[in-house]
Amino acid sequence: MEKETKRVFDVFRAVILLVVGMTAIAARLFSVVRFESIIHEFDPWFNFRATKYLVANGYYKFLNWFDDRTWYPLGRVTGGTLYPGLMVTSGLLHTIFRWLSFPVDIRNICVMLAPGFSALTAIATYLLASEMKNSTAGLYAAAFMGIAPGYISRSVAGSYDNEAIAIFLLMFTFYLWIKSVKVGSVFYGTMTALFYFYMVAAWGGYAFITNMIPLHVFVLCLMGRFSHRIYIAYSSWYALGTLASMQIPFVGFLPIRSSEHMAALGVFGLVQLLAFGMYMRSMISSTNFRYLLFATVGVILIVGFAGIVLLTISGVIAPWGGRFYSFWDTNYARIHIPIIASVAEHQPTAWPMFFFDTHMLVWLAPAGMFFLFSELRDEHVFVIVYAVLGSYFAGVMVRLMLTLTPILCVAGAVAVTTVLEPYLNGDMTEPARAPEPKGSFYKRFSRILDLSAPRYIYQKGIRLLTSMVIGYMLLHFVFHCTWVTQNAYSSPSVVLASARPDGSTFLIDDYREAYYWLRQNTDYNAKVMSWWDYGYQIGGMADRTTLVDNNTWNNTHIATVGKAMSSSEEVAYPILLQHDVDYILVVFGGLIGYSGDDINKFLWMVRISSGIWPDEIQEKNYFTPRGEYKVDAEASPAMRNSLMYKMSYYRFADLLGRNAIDRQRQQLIPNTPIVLDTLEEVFTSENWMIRIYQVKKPDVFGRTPKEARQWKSGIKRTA
Amino acid sequence: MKLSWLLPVAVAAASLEEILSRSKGGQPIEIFSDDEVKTILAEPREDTVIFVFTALDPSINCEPCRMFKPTFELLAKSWYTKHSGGLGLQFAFTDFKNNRETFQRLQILQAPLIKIYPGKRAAFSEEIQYTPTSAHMPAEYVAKEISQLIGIELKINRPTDWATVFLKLSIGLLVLTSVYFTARHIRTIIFNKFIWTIISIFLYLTFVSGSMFNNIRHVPYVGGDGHGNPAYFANGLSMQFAVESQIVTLLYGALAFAVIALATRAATNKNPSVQAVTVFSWLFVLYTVNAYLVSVFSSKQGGGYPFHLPPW
Repeated sequence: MEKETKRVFDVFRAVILLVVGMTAIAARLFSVVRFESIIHEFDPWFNFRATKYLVANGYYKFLNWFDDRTWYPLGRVTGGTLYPGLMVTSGLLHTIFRWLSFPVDIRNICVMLAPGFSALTAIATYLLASEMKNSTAGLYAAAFMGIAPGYISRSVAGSYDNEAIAIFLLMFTFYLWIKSVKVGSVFYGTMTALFYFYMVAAWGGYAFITNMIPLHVFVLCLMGRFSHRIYIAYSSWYALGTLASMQIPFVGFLPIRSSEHMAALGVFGLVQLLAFGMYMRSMISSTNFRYLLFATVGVILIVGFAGIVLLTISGVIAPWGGRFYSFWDTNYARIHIPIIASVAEHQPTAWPMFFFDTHMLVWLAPAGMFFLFSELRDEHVFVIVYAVLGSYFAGVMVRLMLTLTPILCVAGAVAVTTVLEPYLNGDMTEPARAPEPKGSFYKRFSRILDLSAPRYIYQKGIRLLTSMVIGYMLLHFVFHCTWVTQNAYSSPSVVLASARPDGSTFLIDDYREAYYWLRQNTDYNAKVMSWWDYGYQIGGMADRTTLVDNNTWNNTHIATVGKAMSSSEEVAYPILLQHDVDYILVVFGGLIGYSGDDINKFLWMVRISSGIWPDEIQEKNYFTPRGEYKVDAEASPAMRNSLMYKMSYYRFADLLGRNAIDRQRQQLIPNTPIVLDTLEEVFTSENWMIRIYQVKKPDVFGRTPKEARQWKSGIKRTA
Repeated sequence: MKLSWLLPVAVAAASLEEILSRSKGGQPIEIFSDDEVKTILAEPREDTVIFVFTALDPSINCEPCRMFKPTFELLAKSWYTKHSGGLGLQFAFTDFKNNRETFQRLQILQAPLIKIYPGKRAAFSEEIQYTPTSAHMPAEYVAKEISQLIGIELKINRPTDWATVFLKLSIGLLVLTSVYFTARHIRTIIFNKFIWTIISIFLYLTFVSGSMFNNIRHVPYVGGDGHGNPAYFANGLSMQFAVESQIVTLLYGALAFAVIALATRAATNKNPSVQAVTVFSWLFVLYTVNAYLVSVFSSKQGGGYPFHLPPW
């Protein structure tokens, strides 16, 4: 009987997990249903392009890939400067499907990779939470993980980015780590190292694991819980994991040089010493052991400190990186690196964003932490440390909400399970009770919140009521998650949707229209200049050579493009010729009121280029004398002569006549015709969102572009 | 100021020296009337003047003006302490409350606004208008931007904040003495689970209710609705007031505590009717606070949020 019940429960668990996995996938398909199976945003287009290269050319060529079609004329050593895990995963899946005779297009694998892996993440979370409490908590955690918006934000269908597989790897590595701490076996330590290697190959965020595991061990040591289990787990993970991570070309020798990895090394040394100490204590008398202890600690402190100082001064250990430093001193970035401070993902998080992304989990988690504290096994320390540290990082930088969400799911699941246990218990027999504790006030107080006393609810009505209220709140959580997913996180941002007056959807597909025009109407080797935001998309969708792209490794090159965009035609033309530019692509939102257009980004182009050429480009020249940023008749001369302004508003007044109002900025564009000497309009998309210009070749008779244009239009050339 | 009604003539005819002498002690020069503005800006000017037009009166509710004030004072202080009397560069400001004529005469419609008037030896000849990119930019950044505009290097010397130093020292002393006197119990305190539980949960709650946002953005403590009434909740998902995050910490704390109480105190009670009342009251707290939290979130969203829990 007992065995059979267990089997029934096992089947139930499997079915529930399956349903959770399916829900996790289904919740991420809004974008495919609403739009189509398409790669989203910017970075995924690069990942997609790299995957196609991998599938076409094989792994070794991929590792040695020098891409001469980006950063023209510099090129990029792509194979050595990316995390290959994502591309290799989808390439492998593609091969497996082929081998099984399923002819799947690589694009569909890339689009569906993130939802598929989110189902695996739910399972990994189930395993982790089961280790913390029981399999019921595991199922709750899996369900939370499947639908929590904080994770969905980076894993909807089409969001083909490193995070798509990295969160699964994060959770699974942590599960294996917890398992190896519990069991203390080399096998689990090795498995942890193996998945840690996969994580390093997949995402730059692997440093979170690199610091989280040592921190866990360190806290355990401080609590006096050092044991052989921990020694074995940590040593096998650190030794194998570090060696393995160095096999990734982009990581190389960082694990022994950069300061982000020093904590792991230090704790490795610490556990060796503690293990040695344990051994010595069993061998010699306690007075001798005390002398030995003091001597060793003193020597190690001095040598270690001097060593670190020396290595840092001599430059062997990299100094603290700016991005890393900005975590601790939050004013650092604002004063020293405005470009980091300007990126939206690096902004601090206000409380509504926590609530938006995790809803009730954000206040369930502290209750879960409390319940974990009352038992406080080794693995519980992990969850608590992770939750406190993760909430700090998520508060400093909004994108790190992604790493906080999983642990909130685990802690929240522990809270829900613990609170519902006595209320959902079908057993109505009253347990035997110990007498009321006596003693000091403090002792009685701490017993109030104790979980070890037998818990029993007398009335069925109360059981029902509590279950219903909490169930109702959980239901509300599901509605919230679905609403957030479909409204905030399911837009591909390549295709835009707006509503017509009658309420029907109107799809704005100008980006793809323009990229396909480029692909079909220009030479394969044509060079396209645009602001860096569109580099990956041009490379991915139009397959043309770009000057700059979203991998912003070379500030000077970006500044060159910025200078060309913000200078007059006379200044810009030589730059364009030097860089072999054939086409220029600008994004213009003035006709349909699109806020993410190039005129709104224009000041960044000016700022970045004035950082390199402060004498030629000055920000203040682009404002009116009253200090306003204007594009109408009052616009400053520098503004009106800039290439960007001319390309954006060329023939704009012809289209709308005397009412040429820019709908994004609500300003009237003067209808004096804009004249282009060096450029020729070749394409403008349906809603005027993308405009493409061809750069004219130098005049064969050696005239300036202006003279050539005047001669052609019949104005006689004056000597 | 109290002398002004006794000596109206003298004030009206404040000479340039008198005005400039207001920079003693390192404050920026405050200008009280349009005549004084004309005096300090009279051509030919000896010194370059960095002139801030601001509106600090609470009735005008100019948040950027108030945020920019300490930055400007720090700029002036750093310059005047190194260059006694200005030496070619002066920092001046005038408040809309005291001096409406100048705002009307120069047609200034926005505040804070910075105009830089060139002196005799300045590297530029026309007045420059400068608006800080954002009012909560650190003074170092503003100094760098202004230095580029006027060609004189401004350096920020943050004065040692003796109050903070004193506070930190006394806290340190306090900790040390308490350690000394409780040394016998320190082990029980450090190894006390309950204390660590409180610390961890408190840290967690302050982080998730946006305390780091408050520290980095220097948000105001409370807002206003424009009619002099305080507003405790800011609009928009990416904005908050400091008091708001304190309220949210309390709400989260109450919710978490209700869950804990339901699982422990209520469930271990041995009297059926007392237990029923306890469970019922904690459920009431749990539900009501959660419903209120959702309604606050919904109002911050600005109407687009479709869910609400009755009664809100």
